[in-house]
Formats: sequence, C-alpha cells, structure tokens
Amino acid sequence: MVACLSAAATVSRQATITLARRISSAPWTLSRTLKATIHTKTTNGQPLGSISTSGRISQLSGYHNFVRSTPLILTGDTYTHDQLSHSHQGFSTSSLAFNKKPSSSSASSPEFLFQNPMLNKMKPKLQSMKDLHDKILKEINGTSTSSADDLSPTKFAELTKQLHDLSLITDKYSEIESQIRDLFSLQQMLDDPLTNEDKDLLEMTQDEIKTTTEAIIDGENELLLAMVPKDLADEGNALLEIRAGTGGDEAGLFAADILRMYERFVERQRWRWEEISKTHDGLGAIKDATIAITGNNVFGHLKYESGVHRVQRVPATETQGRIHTSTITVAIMPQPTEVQVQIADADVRVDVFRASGAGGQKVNTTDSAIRLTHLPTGIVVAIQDERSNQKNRAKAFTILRAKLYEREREKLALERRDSRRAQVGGGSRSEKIRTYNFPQNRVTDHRINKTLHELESVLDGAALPEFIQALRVEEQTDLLMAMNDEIS
Amino acid sequence: MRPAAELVRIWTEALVPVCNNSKSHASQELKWLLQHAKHQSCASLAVRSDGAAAGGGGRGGLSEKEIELMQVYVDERVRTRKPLQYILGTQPFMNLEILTRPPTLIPRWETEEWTARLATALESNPLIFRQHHQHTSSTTTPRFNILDICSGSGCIPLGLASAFPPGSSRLFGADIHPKAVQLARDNTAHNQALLNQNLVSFHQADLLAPNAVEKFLSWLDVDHDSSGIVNSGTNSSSGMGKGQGRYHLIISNPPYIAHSEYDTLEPEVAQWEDPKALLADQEGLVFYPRIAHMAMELLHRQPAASRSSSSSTSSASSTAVGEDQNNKHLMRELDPRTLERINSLDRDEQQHNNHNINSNHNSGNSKRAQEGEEIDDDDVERTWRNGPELDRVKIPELVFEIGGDHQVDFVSAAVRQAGFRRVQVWKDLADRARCIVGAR
Repeated sequence: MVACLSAAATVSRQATITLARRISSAPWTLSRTLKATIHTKTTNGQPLGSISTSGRISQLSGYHNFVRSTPLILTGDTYTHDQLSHSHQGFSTSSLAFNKKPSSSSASSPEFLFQNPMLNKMKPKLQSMKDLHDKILKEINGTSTSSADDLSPTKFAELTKQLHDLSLITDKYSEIESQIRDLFSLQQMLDDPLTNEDKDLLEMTQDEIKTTTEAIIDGENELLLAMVPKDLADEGNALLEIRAGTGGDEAGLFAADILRMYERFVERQRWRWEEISKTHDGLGAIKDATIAITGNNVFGHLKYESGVHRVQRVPATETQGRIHTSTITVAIMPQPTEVQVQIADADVRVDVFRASGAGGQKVNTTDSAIRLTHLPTGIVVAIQDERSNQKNRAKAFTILRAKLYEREREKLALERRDSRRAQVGGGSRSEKIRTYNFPQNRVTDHRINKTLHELESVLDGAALPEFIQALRVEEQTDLLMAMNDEIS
Repeated sequence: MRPAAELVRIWTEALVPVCNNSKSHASQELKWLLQHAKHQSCASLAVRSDGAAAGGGGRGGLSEKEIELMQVYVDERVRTRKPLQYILGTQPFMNLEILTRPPTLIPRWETEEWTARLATALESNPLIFRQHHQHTSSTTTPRFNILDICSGSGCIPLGLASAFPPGSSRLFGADIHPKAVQLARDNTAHNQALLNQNLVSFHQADLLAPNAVEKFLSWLDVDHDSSGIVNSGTNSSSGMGKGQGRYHLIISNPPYIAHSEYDTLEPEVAQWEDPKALLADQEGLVFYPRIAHMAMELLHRQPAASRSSSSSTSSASSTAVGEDQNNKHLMRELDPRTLERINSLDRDEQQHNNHNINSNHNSGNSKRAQEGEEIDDDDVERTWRNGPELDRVKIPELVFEIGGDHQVDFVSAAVRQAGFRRVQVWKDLADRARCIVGAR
C-alpha cells in the first residue's frame, strides 16, 4: 500500500495530496472521512513541499481512486491520556484528552477537550448554539414539507440568516470535533507495532499527526474569532478623513504622504477610492482631505487607523538639518447607507453662495460651495471642491450621514461600555497611535508596541497590512478577554 | 518647488478680485485652472509623444508648458473677465459634462438644481413612466415628449434624458441662435453614452414666428433617423400618426433680464454671454405669456394626470382657453393691473406701455389673489421641504425658469390665464423663487 502511495506521490510531484479515506476498522465506527496528507518526495526522499490543498483532489482523482481501493489497516486498541501525551517527534499533544468509552457505538460521541482552555469553558455555550442551530434547521425543513403558511417569508428569511450565522460557528465546532477524533485514531496508529515496523508508514503517520494538530490549532483560533461579537459596520464602506495638525507645511506634506499610503493600500485591496474633498496649496501639502472608500470589509480593515499619526524627519524646507516632529489626525468612519441613516429635510439648513441680486441668468458664479447645518446636532459640513453645487451637496450629505452614524455608534458604545472594552479601534481620536521616524527608518504603532523597520514599504501601503493584522488580533484578544470575563 | 510656489501665490492673489474677493474661492478657481492646464499639457504632450518634457510635473511642480498655459488662463480670467467655464470649456450639469462656448449661455447652478428636481419628480411618478412601459410592450417606442424652448447649450433636455428610464422619452430643444443649436448638438454627441437611449434633438426656430407652433409640432412626426440630427442607433418609428403627436411637457428658461438691469450685470455675463439669451422686453417678461399660450396648443389635449381615466369627456371642454369657468373665476381675483399687463403683452408685445407696469408686482392685491388660489407661502415652503413630492401639481406640464421673486406674480398669473389651473412656485437653494410650474 505504501508503495502505491509513494508511486502516486512521485508522479504528482510538487504538492501535497489530501486523500479522503474511510476508516472501517477504527475502534469506533465513524461514518466520515479521514484526511491524510502525504508529502511528495523526490526519488532521494527529500520533501518538495508540504502545503495541503484540497483543491488538488479533482486533478488527482485518478490516483485518489487508486489509493482508495487499497485497504488501510488500523487496530483498535484504546489509549489513555498518559499514553497520548508521549511526545512524538517534537510536537506536543499533551493537552489533548479523550474520555473515551471503550467499544462504544457510533451514536454516543466521546467527550473531548479543546487545546484552548477558553474554548473548553465555552463548551456549554457552543453546545447550546449547536442545539439552536439544529432546532432552526428542523423548523425550516418542516416548513418546506408542510403547508407554506407555517412561516411568513420575513420570518423564514430571518431564520435562514440566523441559521447561516450560527453555522459559521457550529460547522467549525463540528469540524474541530472530528479533527480531534482523527488525531486520536492517528495516535493509535502510531503506537501500533505494525506501523513502527514500516518506516514510510511511520513517517506518514507522524506527518499526518503534525498537520492535523496544526489544523486543530488553526481551527480553534478561527472558532474563537467566529465567536467574537461582530461589528456589522466592518463589512461596509468607510470614509477616511485626514487633517494636518501641528507642524505647519511639514504636517501638510506628511498628510499628503499618509493620504498616498492609504490610496496605494486601497489600490492593492482593489477597493474604490473617491475623493470627496481636499484642501491643498497646489504644491503637494494638504490641509485636509475626505475620501470615500468602497469595497468589501473596508471599515473592518481601516478602523484601527483612527488617531494621531506623528512624523519625525528633517523637512525639505529645513536648512539646518534639524529633525522636526509634526502630527496629522486620521479618522475612519463607517459609511452608512441612505436607509441606515435617514435625514429629515427639515433638520438640515442648506447654505449656498448667495450673490447680491436675484441670481439666475444675471449671475455666473463659480462659487459652488455648499454648507449643510444639521440643526438638531449642530454638525456642519462644508464642501466646495466640485464645480457643481449639486455634486457638492450630494458629497456633503454623504459626510453628514457618516457623522450622524458615527455619533449614534459612539452613543451606543458608551451605553454598553462595560469594565472591559476593546481598546484598539475604540480609542479616542486624539490618541497618538503611530510614529513614522525617517532617520531611523522605522514605524512604531504605540498601541501594540510593534515596530517595522521598513518605512518606505509602510508608506507605500505594502506593509500596512502587517499593522492592521496585528491590531486586529489585539482587538480580538481584547474582546475575547472580555468574553472570558463574562463566562467566569 | 520655490518658483512654482511663488507663481501659485501670485496667481491666487490675481484671482481674488474676480472671486468675490474671497481668497479661498480664488484658490479653488486656481485649482480648477491648474487641473485644466495639466490636462491640456498632457494632451498636447501625448500628441507630440514627447516623453522628456513631462518631467517637471511631479509632486507639486509645474512644467514650462503648464506655466505658459496658466499665465494665459489667469490673464484671460482677470483682465478680460472671461468666465471660468469658457476657459475650461465645460460645466458639470447633473451627471453630464456640458460643453461651453461663447456666446451661448453657461448653465447656471439654479437651472441644474431645478432640472434635477424635475427629473426626480417625473422619473418617480408612476403615472408617467410605468404607464408607458406597460403600454409599449417590448418595443421601446419613446413616448414621453418634452419640448424645451430657448434651449441654449441643451443642458435641460440632456440632463432630463440622462435621468429618465431607458428609451422612455423624446426630448426636443429649440433655440433661435444657430450657434446655440450647434453647441447643443455637440453636447448631445459629447454625452451620448449617458442619455439612456432617450432621443434628444435640437432645432433652430424662432418662437415669435407666426408658424412656431406648427413647426414645433412637426418635429414630433419626423423620423429621427432620417433627420440626421438624432442619435438613436435603433429604428425609432414614433408609433403615432401624423398630427396626433403632441407634447407632454413644455419647458422654458427664456431670457428674463430687463434692459434696465443690463448695466448692473457683472462683466463675465455682460461682456461674454449672448445678450439675446439674457435680455427680454417688458421688464424681462415678454416671453412668458406667449410661451404659456403656445404650450396649451402644444400639449396633449388631455392632461397627463387624467389620461389614465380617459372616460371623462367633460374635462375636454375645460381646457379651452378663456371659456373655462375656472379661468374667469381666476381672472376676477387677479390684480386688475397685473391682468392688464398680461393682456397687453398678449395682444401686442410691441405697443407695450413700459412705465405703466413698473414696480407694482408686489402689491397687496396680487398677493391676496395668490393666497386665494394655489400659491401661498405655506405651499411653497412645503413643496420645497418635501423635495420631489409635488402636492398640487401632480405632473408638471409647463415649467418656466424665472428671474426671481419679483417675477412670481406676473408669470404665475400668465400661466393661469393661459389655462393652467394648478400653479406652483419652486424655490432654489438660495431661497429665491426660481420656477413657475403649471398643470391643467
């Protein structure tokens, strides 16, 4: 059998093949598949790669079927936790624990423990989510068979959405559960003297244990993240506001640099970049700028950018070579739809340039500035960039809508504020979040104490995801801690 | 960078006097001129395929070519008071880019505002467009016919076409000036992709000519493809028999500036734009009664709002001008002097008595006449606040742009007198009366 596998692997070089195998002789009969990863080897036995991609299966179906016809023999001894904790080839499985009933039927699944203690604490919650999921599924299926008036279409849609949201968690949960069982049966294989006699099989099993363990750890992280409460605004579009702060012209030039950084980043993400307004001196420095960014998960990615960004460098205008420090402020706001935020006409005062006289044909003004005043809140938005005041008006309303939405969100956040709140992304506008130090070629994010020594790459938008990723992990950790506090 | 910064400062300061003495507006105009200069120099570089000269452009810098262009632009703008839009050659209008050339009137923001508003009101009205779609099955015969008298650059019909459902309308523009007609046709071509396959055409015509009504109606029977003017790639058989074709909506932004006001106009307007597009006799009011009466002949016999329930034969008689009870009632309530003005204008525009009508528009009598009828301040206010929702005028059949509050009384009276029973005033964003809207 191993010869067959090797043959298959030799032909299909390059990558790892994921094979699905049904285990019929496992200690408990599981009607599911075991994923076995086989590393491709060259003739001299050196691995070429070890990336497992399930997409390859279709390409390799010929081999797959061939291998499938070969029986894989497993013996059915039971293992205790102690036996499992024997470390194999350096990767630890010590925290895996099975409380397995010997020779149990397929109906009763063995209890298992997650690697992550937090998930173990959340198990009752996960189980209740799973129950709810099954209950909704039953309800929906019941509708399709019986008369249609059981569920109203809106109720049906609501349940479907709920089911979808739940399944993101429960599917992951079930997947991890089965992976842990896979790992257990692999451990059994490893301890089988028969396996140990065959060097190739031993190696294969060890590799398989390694990948399964990794998959479990990854899966558990994903499950944890899936359980973190979501901000619906994450999925939507965002407005980016940049304002030059202290530091005069140098701050304006740095504002332009940061604007360019986000523009490059947005290009890389294949989002849409639409300039709403920009005040500049015509020579590269920017006083302020507002950009509408459209795409998937724009706010979710950029929300950590809000705050004060600081630059330390020798300005082009500096004759004595002194390092200046200047700051700019970045604000990211979710961009609501017209449905999410409805503004009553009566609440807004619209001011336009008002020529003396009666206007119309008599006056040809190029002053197309629009100023909106939202009377209930006092928020004022002025736009003058476009040559048409209709366009300026539309842009001003976009900004006003975002500001009102942001205000509402802040109010809700304050109401909900508990002892532990995610600090990243929830911090104040005036918080100093990042320093761009040119002489030292570094960028430091002060919230997570992360420094990248590749300033150019950050300003080019290429390295920005490194910060975003780290900040996201930080925020999610914060949220998980809060969840943990809730549980205990 | 230094010299460029210096130039920018000099240019901005030079522009301040022509920008209402506002520095921030001057820098805004400068920004648009700079964008234009960069665009122009890029275009000329591309033609010469001269890559080397593109160097100076970089961050905030200016190439020699750009500086040269800018100096011409700023000089034109400041010394000759050439309107910015004539220098740039375009003006945005709704989602279109309207070409601008002297001396054709540059679209004003007020016109853009009410055209967008009218488009929304019509486009969202199921009586107009959904009804047409139901009747016209699969063939996309344009059915909603609009005539714009004094169309100038063509911005109004083009703007409406871009907002209407695809293939739902035919829009005609008439102007006396051949240069305006040519510009409007160029604008049609320039914005072709954005017109939603609505048919837009422009024709030269004098609205004061005795056969003007026949001429306007004849356009409806012309096959668009054979005229060579129009744009549709598809075969547009009008679907209406000869003589049957009439308009659903008449629009006009006629000249409305009084001769006495001409001296007060800023140089950008007085020295550059066609006086024929600006000035009108009789205190700027001469065209309104004329067009209002013509509109009654150009429009479908039955108002659009009542066409869906076509059984009402009694309504047909009510459209006859002058014989209608409602009209007589209206006339009684009108300020006698206003009425006199309308009649005198109507009878003979040439023999009008100028000093007789000066400054009596806002008399208390005529105000009362308004309040008794369709227009009152409440109504105006509500209409404005409610946006495109038109309470009284469900479907506009006549839309006039007017010169301001001082023309409201006269024009609304003229519109009513012509036979439009429902009249409304639309205000613009600067809170000035900008349109008189009529329906039968």
